[in-house]
Amino acid sequence: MSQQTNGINIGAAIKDTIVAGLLALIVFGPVVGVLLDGYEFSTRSGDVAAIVAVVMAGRFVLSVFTQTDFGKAFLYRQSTKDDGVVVTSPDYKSKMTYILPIVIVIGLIAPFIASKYVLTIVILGLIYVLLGLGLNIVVGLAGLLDLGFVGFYAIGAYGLALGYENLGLGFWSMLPLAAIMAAIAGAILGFPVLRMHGDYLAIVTLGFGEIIRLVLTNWTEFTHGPNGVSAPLPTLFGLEFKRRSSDGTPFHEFFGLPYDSAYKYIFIYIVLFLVVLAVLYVKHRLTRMPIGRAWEALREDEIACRSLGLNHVLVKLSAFMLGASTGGLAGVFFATYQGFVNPSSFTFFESALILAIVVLGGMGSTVGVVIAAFVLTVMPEMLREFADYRVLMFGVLMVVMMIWKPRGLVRVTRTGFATRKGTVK
Amino acid sequence: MTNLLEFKDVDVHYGPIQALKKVSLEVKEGEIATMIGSNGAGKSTLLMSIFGQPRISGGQIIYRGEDISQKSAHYVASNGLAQSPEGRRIFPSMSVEENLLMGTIPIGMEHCDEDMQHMFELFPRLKERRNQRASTMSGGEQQMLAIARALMSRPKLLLLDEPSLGLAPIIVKQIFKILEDVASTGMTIFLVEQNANHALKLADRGYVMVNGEIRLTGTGEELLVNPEVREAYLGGH
Repeated sequence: MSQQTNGINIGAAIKDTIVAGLLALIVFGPVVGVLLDGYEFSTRSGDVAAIVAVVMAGRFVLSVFTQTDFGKAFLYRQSTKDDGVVVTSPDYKSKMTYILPIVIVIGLIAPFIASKYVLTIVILGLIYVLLGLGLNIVVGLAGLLDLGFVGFYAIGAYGLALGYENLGLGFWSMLPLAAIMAAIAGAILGFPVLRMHGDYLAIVTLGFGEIIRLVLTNWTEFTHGPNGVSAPLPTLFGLEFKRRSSDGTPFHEFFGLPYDSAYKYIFIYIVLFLVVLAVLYVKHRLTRMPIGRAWEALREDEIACRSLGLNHVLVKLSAFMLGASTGGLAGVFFATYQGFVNPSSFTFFESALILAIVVLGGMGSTVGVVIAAFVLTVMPEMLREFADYRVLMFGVLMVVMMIWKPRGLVRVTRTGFATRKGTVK
Repeated sequence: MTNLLEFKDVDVHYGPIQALKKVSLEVKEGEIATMIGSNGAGKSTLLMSIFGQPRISGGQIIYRGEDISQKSAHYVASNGLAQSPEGRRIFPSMSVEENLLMGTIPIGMEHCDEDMQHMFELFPRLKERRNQRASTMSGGEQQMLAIARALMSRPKLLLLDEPSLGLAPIIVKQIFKILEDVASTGMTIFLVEQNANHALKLADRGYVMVNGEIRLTGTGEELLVNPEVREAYLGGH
């Protein structure tokens, strides 16, 4: 073997470095090194050399780092996959009890300080929080892989737009109706397919999402196809947020304020924020109720559940419907926020993004999903200057996450279940 | 004694393959009945057919005077039939206590505290590990948990599918000792086993299944000394 110093094998590090350098040369050589110019081409060996040098230096540093004691400990920590849920004792007091009021206060003050641009991004973030929470019930808690979640989102959004156009229903009547419609769609899809597991279920739901999108695109008499439909703005007790209202006084005239287009975003934001809080609360309670327990048990072992007398179809269906209705709510907000919906907002990429939120956040973790939803929606906005590299960054983030935090950003912790009277001594 | 569970000429098919052929047996109230047989004899199929998985293709399964052969699994499970399934099937990410709580699904939480206390007396090992995740326990402890979880629903009839599977002889001995204790409280047990020696010693009555048919039947002692059984299951000693 080559020389050993302090347990660091320099020879091995150099070998790693050379291999990495060769790989970098193979990958970047043709891509960066050859510049096509009409029928001619010129070589740019300098750029290639720089890239390869950076890769080699990085690999060398990494190689040496992983051989130090600290590096070894770090690697060990990251590679032990202590999977599963952390169960705290039933009387455990979460730190969230202190953080949550602060978050709520900040959340309610924020729209009056923030600029309109920031507000629109945060609204988008909150819509994805809703979507993430909905899918989290289906994927994270009940363990049903759903790749067509965007279908329910589309049903909510088109529900508002078409409900307004055909039936004259406004934002407030469509909000509950869209949730119910999405839940019914969830039941219709769920009933025949819930016998399936894992991959098969994923493929069927993927198909469902695509069917919804294709129907929206091609049923032009009803949905106006790719041209889309306009969606109404929410109203505050009948007061509209337009500059001029066709019927009645608009919001700003009623309160004697100058017109500002930010008002409608502030209003959407506040309603959305309250709905997100309500959904968070409901989800929090559900995970502590027998139904939440049944979802988790079903995810862990379906056969055991059935031998214990759980009606697995009903349990799965309830998860599917609740998840779908949350997706429907998100769709209504999306439509009213955009003021316009068309099928291109509901592609498979959206489903993948929502799934990424759930996976990055940590399956079943509520806090994780909220954080991941903001990271994945706000980050692309902040990286506008690097627009060309956005998808690359996204991919790198995913790879890094899967290597170091395969169970998601936030470890799933849940309070232990206990009997109402307390634990048995 | 009345029959708690009765199989009448039950046939089960997996596609073209017939797994059970005209199986008739009965489990009387308060007794320990056992079914022994080698791999692939149809023991697990028999237990699972009680829950309608797979559905039987002929005959009747009578439980407390009612034909349950066409009922759904959760209906059967919530009516006093508890099963400790093959391979334990505990919930790995749930703590021991939570696993036990899951067992109360058919009857609700009314007797939960009292029963859990009882289980901890029956299985002191589970009490030591009550807040531990079930997946971190040894095979024997997991088997104990599976049995305790089944008992949490206060069943009329406890169905056990190979509780000795993959366990060391000493642990098997412990498990059978506990089953004896459980039976002494008047619990009816139907035990499906490969470990003929232990099972027949414990049981009041036994059935021997070969290739989907009941070949022999008799009391535990009778079967234990039966030369055919000794030859096939006890290695002739």
